[in-house]
Amino acid sequence: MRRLALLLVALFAFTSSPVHATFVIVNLDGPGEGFNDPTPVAPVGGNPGTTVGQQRLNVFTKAGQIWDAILNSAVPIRVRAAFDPLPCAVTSGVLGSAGPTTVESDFSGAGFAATWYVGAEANRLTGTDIQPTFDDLEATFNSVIGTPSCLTSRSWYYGYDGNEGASGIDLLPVLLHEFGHGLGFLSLTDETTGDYFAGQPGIYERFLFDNVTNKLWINMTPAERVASAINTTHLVWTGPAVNANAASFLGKRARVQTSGALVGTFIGGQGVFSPAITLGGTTGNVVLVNDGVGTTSDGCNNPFVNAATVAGKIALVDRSGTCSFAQQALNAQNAGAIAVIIINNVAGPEPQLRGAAPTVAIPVVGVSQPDGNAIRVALGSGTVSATISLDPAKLAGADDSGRAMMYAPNPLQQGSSVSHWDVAAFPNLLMEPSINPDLGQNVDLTRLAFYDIGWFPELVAVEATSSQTIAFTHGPNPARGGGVLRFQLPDARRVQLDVFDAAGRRVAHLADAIMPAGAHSVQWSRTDDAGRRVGPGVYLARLKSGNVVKSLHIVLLD
Amino acid sequence: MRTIMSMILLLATVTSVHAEPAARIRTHSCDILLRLHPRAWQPLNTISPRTPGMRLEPDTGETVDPASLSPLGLQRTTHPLADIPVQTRADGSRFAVLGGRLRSYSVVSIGPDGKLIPDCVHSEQEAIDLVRAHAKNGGR
Repeated sequence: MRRLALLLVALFAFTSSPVHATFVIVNLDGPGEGFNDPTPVAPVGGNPGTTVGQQRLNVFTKAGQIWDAILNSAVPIRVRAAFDPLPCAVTSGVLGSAGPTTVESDFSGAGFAATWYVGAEANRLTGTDIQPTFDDLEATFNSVIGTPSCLTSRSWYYGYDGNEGASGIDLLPVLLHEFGHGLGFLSLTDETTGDYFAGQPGIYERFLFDNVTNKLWINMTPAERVASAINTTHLVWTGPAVNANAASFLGKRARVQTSGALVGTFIGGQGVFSPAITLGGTTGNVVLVNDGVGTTSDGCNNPFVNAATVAGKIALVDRSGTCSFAQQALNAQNAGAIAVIIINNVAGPEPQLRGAAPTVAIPVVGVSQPDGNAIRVALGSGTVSATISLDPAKLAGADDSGRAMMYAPNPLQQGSSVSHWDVAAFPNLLMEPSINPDLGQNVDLTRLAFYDIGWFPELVAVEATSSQTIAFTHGPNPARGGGVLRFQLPDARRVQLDVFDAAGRRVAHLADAIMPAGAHSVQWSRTDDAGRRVGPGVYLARLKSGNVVKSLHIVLLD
Repeated sequence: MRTIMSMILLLATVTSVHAEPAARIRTHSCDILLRLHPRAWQPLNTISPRTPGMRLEPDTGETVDPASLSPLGLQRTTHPLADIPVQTRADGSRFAVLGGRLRSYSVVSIGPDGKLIPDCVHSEQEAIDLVRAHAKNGGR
């Protein structure tokens, strides 16, 4: 019996002491509920669970594994988790919540003094569990979704494949998003007063920058931070990892260029439901729609009174409070429009066009209220021709200098403001305030923010020694294979080329030779020095030549 | 013996998902314990409209109990972290136990086209306000 007990202890020790970062889901639910719900279900979307409770646990574990592959902490990240009834009504409800349990500062290994880090990151940087009596994250999700009083027509979808269908709510991206906040993608500052938490900034706030005042948040007064938090499209991220890789994740920014009675260029918001806007674009004369009912220019009523005029033109419509973007676009398409411009009906930037409409086959773009009204007014004085296209030099979701924009609506949305990417990002990003249906599982540009906030100090140190004397690029990025590393040498010299993983360990030694001046390319087959395929995650390629060191990030997908 | 082997196999399948280990009993303050074990929230439509204080949202007819939409007994008018104490260790490092006070909340509503409209806010009160607002306007 003693031998059996020892065996059990050994088994537990083995299973609970992983060699690298492990998300441990601490199940707070009682017997028969939440994670322990015994209701039988069929496996779905790659989730092999056969009970509701097991499928819930599996999705939590899956989300943890995805973050684990990115963060690679030697210290397990523990998440206290439960499924409980949360505030809900028939047409709306709280899906869930999560956050960090503790924050730490001035610990051994902290990159900045007098700066808050969430507990999980502090643990990684010190290599120990600083607060062993506390778990790192807390998460509670709604157990009553789909019941008669809570989002009745919906249900959680526990698959891993994003095929939640029309009535499902995909749990996995919601978890990835909420875990992201708990792992440090959040501001601790009170945006209504501008005051730091306990008199000092969080590491996240150190990378917030206002491109109008040209000040970092840490160099602002509290009043300036209050103003910056609502400086829409001008609050940006200055982290080098994010901004160096932004072009790999963000598409080109949409624009509306007009001529005739109005000459101008206006920023456009793109829709996930309509065909991609192209660099060449769509050109035509603009016509304000008239659907004959209520706000006649909203195009909610079909058919349009002026359908004959709209046919073959670009339809201009006002954003509606009564029908969806997709419906407006579909009605315009039915009238024969070749494209649609939707004018925002509230202050702020161009609207981001959510929704789904598989039958919309024409480009759709949103413009701000002032921009749209300018086009509307110009139509009263003559013909306006417009081209809806992509700006080859600008990124959707970044400022003109390529810095990722943060969510800074005016008025402030306390809590939501600042702690998310701006909604102008396109394709959508995990850490936008809305968890959009087109998200993947690769944690997109968001993962690079975790480099910036210091999760990988080994790699940041390498990055900081970069020099401009050697051009060094990689593509494609992100990649499923290893991609090709290219560099241009100004003269013959010895070159060492290596790839490191997120923990700073060298995984592949690609070159060490004296090379002639000129262009060189090295194919990486996504294998380590032992020939094994390396897993998904962020890697750092480092080119070293004498005292010149250049590095870049490579994002490998599943 | 078969029973014993079954136990071993069962344990072996539990790799990353654990029940709360006895060795990690927490020493949270009462406040934190309250937050981690909030009273069960009562679904809106299961509450009798004749209960004192109940009201019907005029636009949608949904029954709303203002008390049920209060932030789980924690009335806050200031930032969620405003009154959290910071402790200093002997080595000069500092820490604060947030105890769930700084959570982000995912909220969805069903839009006029039947599609989900997601939002993310960072306090329970904001989440409740969103749910209440959507209940009031029927998701528009």
